[in-house]
Amino acid sequence: MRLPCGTYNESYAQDTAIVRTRVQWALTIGALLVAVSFPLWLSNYGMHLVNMIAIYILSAIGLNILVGYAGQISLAHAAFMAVGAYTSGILNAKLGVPFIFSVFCGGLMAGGLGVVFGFPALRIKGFYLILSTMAAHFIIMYVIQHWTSLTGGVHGQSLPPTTIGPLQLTSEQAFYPVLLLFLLAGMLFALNLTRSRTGRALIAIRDNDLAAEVMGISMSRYKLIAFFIGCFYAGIAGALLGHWSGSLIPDLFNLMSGMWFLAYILIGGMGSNLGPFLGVPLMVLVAQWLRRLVTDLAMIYPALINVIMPAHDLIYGVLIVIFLIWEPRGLAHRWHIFKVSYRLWPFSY
Amino acid sequence: MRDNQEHDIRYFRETKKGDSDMCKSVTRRFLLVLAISLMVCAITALPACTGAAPAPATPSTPAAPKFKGEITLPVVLDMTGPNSPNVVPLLPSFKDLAAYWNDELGGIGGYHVNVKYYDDKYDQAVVLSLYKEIVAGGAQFATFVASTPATTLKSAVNRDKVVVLAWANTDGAYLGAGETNNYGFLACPPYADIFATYVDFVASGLWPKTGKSGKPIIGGFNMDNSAGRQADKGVKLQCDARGLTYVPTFFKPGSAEHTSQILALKQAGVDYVTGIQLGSDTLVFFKDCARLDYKPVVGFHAAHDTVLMKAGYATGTWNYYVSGGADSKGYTIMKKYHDMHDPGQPMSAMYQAGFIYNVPMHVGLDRAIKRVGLDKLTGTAIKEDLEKIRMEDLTDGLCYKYNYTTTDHRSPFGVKWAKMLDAQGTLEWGNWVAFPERTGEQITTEFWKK
Repeated sequence: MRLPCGTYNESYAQDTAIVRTRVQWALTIGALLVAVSFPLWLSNYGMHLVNMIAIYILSAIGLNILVGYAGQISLAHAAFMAVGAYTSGILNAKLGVPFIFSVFCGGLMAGGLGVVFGFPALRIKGFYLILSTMAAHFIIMYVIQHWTSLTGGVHGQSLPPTTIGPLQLTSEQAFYPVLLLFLLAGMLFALNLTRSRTGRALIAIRDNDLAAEVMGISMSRYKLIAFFIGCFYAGIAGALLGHWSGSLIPDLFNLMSGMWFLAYILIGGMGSNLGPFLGVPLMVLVAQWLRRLVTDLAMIYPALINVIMPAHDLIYGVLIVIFLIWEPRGLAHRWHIFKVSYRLWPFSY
Repeated sequence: MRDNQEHDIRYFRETKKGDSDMCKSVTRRFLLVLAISLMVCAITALPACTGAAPAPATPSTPAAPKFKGEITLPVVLDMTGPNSPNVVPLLPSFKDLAAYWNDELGGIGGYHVNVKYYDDKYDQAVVLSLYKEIVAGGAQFATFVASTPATTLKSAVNRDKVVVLAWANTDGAYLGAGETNNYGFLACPPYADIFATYVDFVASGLWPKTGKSGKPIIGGFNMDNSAGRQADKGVKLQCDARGLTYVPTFFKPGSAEHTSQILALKQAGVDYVTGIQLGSDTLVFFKDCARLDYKPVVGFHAAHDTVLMKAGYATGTWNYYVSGGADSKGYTIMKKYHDMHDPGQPMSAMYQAGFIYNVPMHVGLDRAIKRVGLDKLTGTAIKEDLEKIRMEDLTDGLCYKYNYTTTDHRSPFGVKWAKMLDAQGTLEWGNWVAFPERTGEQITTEFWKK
């Protein structure tokens, strides 16, 4: 971590601290207070967006560990979310397993399957790995859609209202604290993982897998760990998504959703823990804003409705391309430049 | 020194010689960001600048002297995505129906009707998000034109007590285990019943005219999704009831060819094929049938699409029409409003379906507002008025009668099958075919999800 001028780490505890200076503590506490206060001042729709963003960030953190840190590109992220969602939903709805426990079981099931489908990753990489993970997506979704007796097949199934003890989580405001806790826990784990020996091993594999192996890093072990952790996060996020939306439908976990998660971490900054927190809200909010804009424009110019409504996808795509041309390393890098320039201003170096 | 520290120093040193500080490069980027922000603000402010803000969902100042105010009907549909060719023709028909109510029926409960579209992109996650956005805006009602909103939204609408009109998903029409209320109403007949009527139509109408002995063999050609599976189930039940042989096939929407399905149907000796597909899949089916020299009598969902009609594939095919009352007063009204923007053009099957699609919402809202007033309007009040409708003609003969009960929210209760005779769209009409009677287990959600 970069420290302000004049601040030094004088102990191991200071060196390993996530929040080190008073300013950072103030900002962290301020951010937490703002996050905790959302239900008090946001509308129902605003809370809906916040909850959706929280779930997507959790999933994106997992994908960031797998893709950004370990360098293993996966297109099957949505399918692993589906595994988590269906596992948790079925355990909770049909077997009466408590909500929190069923969510963790969903994560474990997704993580386990991630290891299974991660075995091909030991021998292939790049484009071939992309195809392999795409195949994993199709296999998983096929099983979900055709194991009708267990999953409800293509029709999906409704889930009962989520309960934690005597509390029923039926509103957006009620669900939010649960999602926030999961997100904070996931974020802390990811932060510590990437600073640990395992995290450094993943980065080494990403940067140069042959050199990493020569240095004694077990590629097979750490790649499988990356798949397990990334898919565990996906399973947890998928389980939360299923319970939050109240229904399990295969269409919620299509291939395009998995690709969008890749876009989220790409825009946010791959290989940066801050990336998902920047990329997901930006992309989701821009999509919502664009949709409202084209709908309002279509109301005003109804004769152009057939032109205006499809323009949403066009504008969204163009914005992504322009952004990537402007900052291919993502929003996290742009934030990093801002921080450095703020520290140095008005000096140039 | 860490790598990125060196990078940062190099980054800042690479400013032009003579720059006294790096503020200039920051300033350029700042100006770029500012320019983009101003452009975005300008685009966002455009609706306000033109002075025409979108209509609110609650009553405001009257749009015209004869109205008490304005009421906005949210309509969520697939304006983009693979199903958009089927849905886009619906857009003018929703507005035409609203215009008819405004011009000739005094609006809904005396309020001017305004239709607001939302694009769900054929994505269930977006459907959920849009539903929550609409409800958060205070609306107690919405219309959804997507194939699986009943399943996606059922628990949510029942929890929020919001009335939704949905496309034809059978399991959404009935109560599930433990449910005492259902706030979802079908705007079009469910596919399971529509294609079941084709079995009746073939057995009672088409097959006897052939003069052949024995019984017809019915084949299914359905999308492998919930809509297709339910259509398949409805046809199978009707075939079983009539003692007919049924050969089902399924395909993935968007497939490039259907050779295996067509060969299965051909080898089984299927005379009549029915099922639900998108227009693009229907085109592929007809092309593959021509290639494999197979000529069944088809009764499809999208056989009379404009593209198929102009290509000649629709000639000789049967398609169901919910709005089959071509000689009715309702048809005349529909044609009058259609000809205001497309004079001389044939009314597509989808346009006609769209004109009657939102009728229950108009009627339910109208009756509820007249009964309780707009300020006390709730989803429950709308639901109560809709569930009082018993075999009632709501469209002046344009479609079959509506019938909503507390346990069965299917309607209209019949369709007509029409055969296209030429590429100009001339139709040969059959009679109204009412739905098969369903009782007991068949009017539960779980039965149709198996």
